[in-house]
Amino acid sequence: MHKRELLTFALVTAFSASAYAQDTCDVAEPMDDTRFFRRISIDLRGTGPSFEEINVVKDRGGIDEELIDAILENESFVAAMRPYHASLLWPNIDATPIVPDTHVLFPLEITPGNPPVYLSPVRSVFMRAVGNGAIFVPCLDEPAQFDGNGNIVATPLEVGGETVAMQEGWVEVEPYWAPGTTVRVCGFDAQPNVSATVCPGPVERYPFVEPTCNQFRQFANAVQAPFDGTTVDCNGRQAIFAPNCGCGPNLNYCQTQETGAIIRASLLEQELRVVDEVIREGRPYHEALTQKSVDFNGPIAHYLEHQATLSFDLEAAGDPDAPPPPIPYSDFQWIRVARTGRHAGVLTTPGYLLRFTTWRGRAHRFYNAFECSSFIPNGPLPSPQDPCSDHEDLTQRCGCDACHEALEPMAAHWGRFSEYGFRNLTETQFPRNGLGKCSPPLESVDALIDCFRQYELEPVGEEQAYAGQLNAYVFRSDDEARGVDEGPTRLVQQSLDSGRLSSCTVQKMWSHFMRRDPTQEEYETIIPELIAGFEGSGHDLKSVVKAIVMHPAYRRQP
Amino acid sequence: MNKKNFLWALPLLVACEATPEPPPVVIPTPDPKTPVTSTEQPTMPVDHPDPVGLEVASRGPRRLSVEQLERTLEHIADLPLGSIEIPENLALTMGKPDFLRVTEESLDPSPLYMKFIVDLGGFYCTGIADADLNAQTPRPENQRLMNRYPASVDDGLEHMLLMFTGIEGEDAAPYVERLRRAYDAGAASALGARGGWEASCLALFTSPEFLLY
Repeated sequence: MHKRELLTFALVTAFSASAYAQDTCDVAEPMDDTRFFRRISIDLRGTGPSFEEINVVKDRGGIDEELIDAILENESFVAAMRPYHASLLWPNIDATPIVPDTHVLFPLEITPGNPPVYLSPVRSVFMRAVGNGAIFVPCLDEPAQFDGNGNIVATPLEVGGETVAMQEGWVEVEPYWAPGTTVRVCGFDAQPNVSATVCPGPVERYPFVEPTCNQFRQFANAVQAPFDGTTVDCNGRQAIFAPNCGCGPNLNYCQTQETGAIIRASLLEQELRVVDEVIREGRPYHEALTQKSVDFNGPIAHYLEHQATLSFDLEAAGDPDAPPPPIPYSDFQWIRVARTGRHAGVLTTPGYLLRFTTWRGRAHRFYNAFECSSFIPNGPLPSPQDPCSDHEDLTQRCGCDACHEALEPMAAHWGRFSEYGFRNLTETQFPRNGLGKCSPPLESVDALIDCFRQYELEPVGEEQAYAGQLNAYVFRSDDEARGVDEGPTRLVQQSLDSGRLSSCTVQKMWSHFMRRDPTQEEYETIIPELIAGFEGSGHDLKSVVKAIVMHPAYRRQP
Repeated sequence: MNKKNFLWALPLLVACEATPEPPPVVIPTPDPKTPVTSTEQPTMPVDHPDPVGLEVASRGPRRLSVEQLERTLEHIADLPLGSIEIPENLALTMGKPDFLRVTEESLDPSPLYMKFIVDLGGFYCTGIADADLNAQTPRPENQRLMNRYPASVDDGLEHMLLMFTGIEGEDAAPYVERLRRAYDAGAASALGARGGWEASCLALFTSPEFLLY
């Protein structure tokens, strides 16, 4: 507290006998117009006012409702609300690899002074290394040679009389990220094929691929799925088993550090643009969590079209309910696309699904951010020897049930958006019961992976009753299964119907702008009024913000 | 031992060889410490409740976030949008969340934050002085933050106070008085008037009236 304010505090309390009897200090004074305008400007526009703006306020004789309305209608208010919504959605997907390392290219100056040559060091392991030699050998810094069939010619690298790698030269490629230019790319990385044969061998040539091929060969044999000699897409997850797959036409299937960063930033921007749109257009606030439309730009469209399906670790596939527009990577304009199906605002954008990779994580964030609630255990875990610890169903297992009784049904709403990715598990591709789909013979190794990841195929204990079900339906009652079927929109509607969403939004807005939580008295008086106003306005966020900044308490300075 | 101390000790070594008597032990006096600014708390009336626990039905003070700081500094000095961009790693240190390791913006005026603010203030105020007080091509008066009213230093200080804090009128008088002292002290340096403006700018930049709103 400033010295002058302390003095005021002392003077007022010295003459106010009643101040001693109550635990409320009411010495706070309203700010004068210019300081109040500064506060309003920083809170609602993200910046202090300019000299000209200060003079405008002075000329108007202060800050009135009309001025606040004008500020709220300005685009700067949309921008000022960004950090608030970022604090709810935690937009950062740096911890999630969105393409495998085999498809990340780095420029390497092989010969000092020569132009850099792009290559993936990890692909070097699979494509160049032989014997017991060095595994990260780059290509040669010379133009690649091709045989009569168009195959790349690789020459052995001898060290100590032993061949440690097979090296090829580079080729010039027009990359998707810079049309009209060319870059040098190691020949194996630059291969433009869109499909190729898996595991052609021999093991002497591909010693780091063949062991994994053998493993998959055994899996495939077990479920009678074809493997050897099959052709796979070079932008699919089995591409690494196919030596004739590279980065595809125009390097479409690969990223550089720069393009990867742009794609990540775009995925997060796409998420926050949903909220921007709702605020800008003054639509009901909850539509940020339910609306179908979402914006795409070139980098996102390119990623979804060419790169999203490359990884074993990331579950992704073309989404028939949200097809990206056919625009090139280099088109940075945002294009509105109407999604269909169970898509729900920010909650089913790749940005949200990649940030919160599990169903429970997605539900938990929603619970914290939009219902102002937390999961708190009701005590220590009981002994693992206790019979109640044997339940497979966490809503039944003691020590877990207090949280999971609520969490599991909530998490089910994301049940048809795969964990560890953002794949839309449509009924067409993933029927609720997978026993038929997942019984041998399977059509491919990809089908094998899908079945074991998405279905309950090895049930134990209480899971037996759900054998063959899509994972999201395991342990779910008929009513809870509706959450899986209808998606997060149903959860949002429940939150809206119960008043939790409105109440939480108002409380968070109050805390955000007042920089403190409501007092008990305010919980009982002001907050209910604000909630009623928010709901009465059709859940217009601007209306609640306006009510808060026009409240006398907001203008007071401590 | 650094070179300076070594040279200081050299005559003593020579003296030791010449006379067997040990030199008198000199206990160095510690450097005087700059006192930390203190605020006198007023004496509370008898039976007054502890102010710490009182509820104040007003908006809580909060310091500027990193983004608000960037945009506000641009507005204060009439700079184009995007002129000031604090590097990402520094912004993280100053409390901006990355939403991976840190999910909540730290808005405490911590000592670490103040350290960076003092450094940033130095860069900012020097940069503004370079533009506003440029001997050959100073910015037009109506765009300046510093020396906006060449005929009156106090008017110029009032303008800076208004732009940094929104304080003006009667409330501004005690601030301008203190700023004037900072200005005079800075102007007495080798930098002359420029030193005065930079000192005033830095005083405002690091003031709670600017950093809290």
